Order: sequence, then C-alpha cells, then structure tokens
Amino acid sequence: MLDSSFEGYVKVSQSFGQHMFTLRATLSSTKVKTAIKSVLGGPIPKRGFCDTYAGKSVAWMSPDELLITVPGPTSGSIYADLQKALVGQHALLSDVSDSRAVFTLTGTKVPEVLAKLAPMDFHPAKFKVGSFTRTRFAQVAGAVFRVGEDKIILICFRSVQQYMFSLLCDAARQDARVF
Amino acid sequence: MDVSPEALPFMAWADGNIGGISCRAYRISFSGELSYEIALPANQGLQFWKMLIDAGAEFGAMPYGTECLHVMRAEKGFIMIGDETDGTVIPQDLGLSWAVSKKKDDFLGKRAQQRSFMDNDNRWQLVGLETLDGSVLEDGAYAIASGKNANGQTNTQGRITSTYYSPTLKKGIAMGLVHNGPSRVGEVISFTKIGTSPVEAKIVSPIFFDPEGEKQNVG
Repeated sequence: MLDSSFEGYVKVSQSFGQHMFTLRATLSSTKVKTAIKSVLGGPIPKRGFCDTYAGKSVAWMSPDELLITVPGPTSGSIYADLQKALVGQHALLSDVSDSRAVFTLTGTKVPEVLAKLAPMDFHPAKFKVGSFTRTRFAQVAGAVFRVGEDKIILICFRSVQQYMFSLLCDAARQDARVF
Repeated sequence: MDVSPEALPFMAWADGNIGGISCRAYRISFSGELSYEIALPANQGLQFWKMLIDAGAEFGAMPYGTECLHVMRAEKGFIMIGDETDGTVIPQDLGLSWAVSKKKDDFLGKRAQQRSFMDNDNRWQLVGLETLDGSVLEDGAYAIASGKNANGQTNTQGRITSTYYSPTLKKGIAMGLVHNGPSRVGEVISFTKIGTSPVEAKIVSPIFFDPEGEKQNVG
C-alpha cells in the first residue's frame, strides 16, 4: 500500500479505509430499487451522479451497474445485508475494494489540474457537486466524484495507482499552473 | 478450510479462509501435480505469500516460474493455446473430438468443422516426439516428407509446436502436429535443423510423464 500525499497547487492524497462494492443488476427493476433503498438508505442516483446517505455512497456506473462505497468497519454487515436484500434477483454483488485505488484532490484549482489529464469538462456548471463521471486520465481509466466545489475524489484500478499518483503530482506541481 | 480430495475434488473450487485470509481456492493443475490456485484480496497478497513460504519450508516448498511450468505441462502433454494451436488447428487435430458435440443441432463453429478439409482424418494431428539421440528438437522445425511440391520445395508432413529439455526425463521432449500422427505411433521421421542435417525422431504419445494422471490426485 502506498502512503501517498503531495502538496502542489492542489493537494493530492491517497485515501484508504473505504470499501467498495460493484453491483450489477437491472437498475430499473422495482425490486432492485427497493433493495438499495432498504440497505443504503436512499434511491438509486440518476445517470452522472453519486448520492451519499449517511456515509454510504452510491454511484451510477452504467444502466446496470452501481459502485457502492461504504466505511470499512461496517462494510461486512452492509455487504451481507445487500446480498440478503437481493436474493432472488438476477444480480451480482462483489467486493472490489482491493482492485481499486482512491485519491482525494483538494484546492480551488482542482478542476484545472484534472482538466490537464482527462477529456471532460470540470467546470462547476457542467460537473456539479454530487456529479460522478467515468473517464480516462492520460493512458488509464478512472472515475471522478465531485464531493465539493474544491474537492474531487478520483478512483482508478489498483494496478495503475502509482502511475495515477505520478500523473496527478506532475499536473499539480507549483510551477505547472495554467491560469 | 477443508482441501481434502473429498471436500475439494480435482477441478472443484470453494470459498474459505486460509491463515486468516478470506480466499477462493481452486483445485486445478497445469503442472500435472497436485495443485491449487488461490485467489485473495490483493492487499493481503504479500502476507499470504510469506505465510506460504514459512509453512512450506519444512517440505522444501519453493516458488517456480512460468518457464518451469511450461516444461511440466509439456511432460504431461497439456496443450497450450498459441503453441499447439493457431488459426488452422481444430479440436479434432488435438485429440479433442470428445469435447465437440455430435448431438447438438447447431453451435458456433459447427458448419466450419463440417467442411470437407476439416471433417477429414487426412490432417496434421497432435503427437509427442522423441529424438533417437535424446537431443532437443528445434522449435518450429518441419517434418520432412519425400518429394517436392509444385514450387520445387521439399514436401513437409508436420511441424514442432513445443519443445523442451525435460530435466525429469533427462532428454528432449516435444509435441508437434504430424500428418495422420496418432495412427503412426512408433514410426521414425526426420525434422529439419538449421545449418545441419535433419534429426530423427520417433512418434510417441504426447503424454511423457504420469500418463494415468495420478500425481494430481494425490492427497
């Protein structure tokens, strides 16, 4: 595990302690919606969003996939509850915590730093607080979740975590400001 | 977790806990030995590896690499996709007719396999090859046939697909595709060798070691 933190003109740090589940299911199904709501405390988010219910986040990945992020200590029971709630449904639930890396970027210039790496618009008018988007960063896939005006969480595969951290640090160097 | 042959027979898998780590264990074997593949959370990989090395020390356990694994699978006659096969090789060439349904009305590839040059015994088929002098055949070497083709080139009757020195058997072993090979076991044919005269090799079964598959059932 890396102990990665970097202070440039935005702050980049790797986050640990959250667990992640992938859920593949028909998200339009009433039974699936009910299962999500009963365990996670809220409805399935709309396309392009990640909703958080008491520390449990649900991100829209595709018409049949959600990414669920929960605090480590309660992850076991939430996983078991989800499994139970989905019994009888054509659904696949898997703990993917160890296949992902999570980075948190904070600072007013976070959109600028990320715009150097990803082919998407990070302007707050387009990528609002609560938005969640899958995209790519230089040569690797990733996803971004705008937690606040000045705070974005980035997810990528664990196997490219060192590459991603290097990219982010390079783009966030003090001498790499654009505006 | 219980990994006995009764609880976890050959080709079975089970979720469990080994050394305090949640895992999924598969009893499968590409080496031909009693063997398990164990999947576990990546963050605990190193810890598990260290525990395995420690626990295996009294039995002389040691890591081995894919090159070694390749030699072991060749001793067992286990084919490798991309070595024993390319786009021209069909299951029937590899002794896998048993795996192709004769009852199903249709499946992907059925029509192709019914074409005259496929549904035909007159093909290059998988065999084992042993040189008479114990040397290692060259990878990709051709089996020489009599006469010449329309372009004046020497005719061929097969080629080497995998070839290694087997430290267990103390000789060169090879697999290859040979014209009507399985019906010619015991026959000696010649293979090309760059820069020197051809090498004679006997057609044998591709299974050089543990033909009954007892080793993977130990335990």
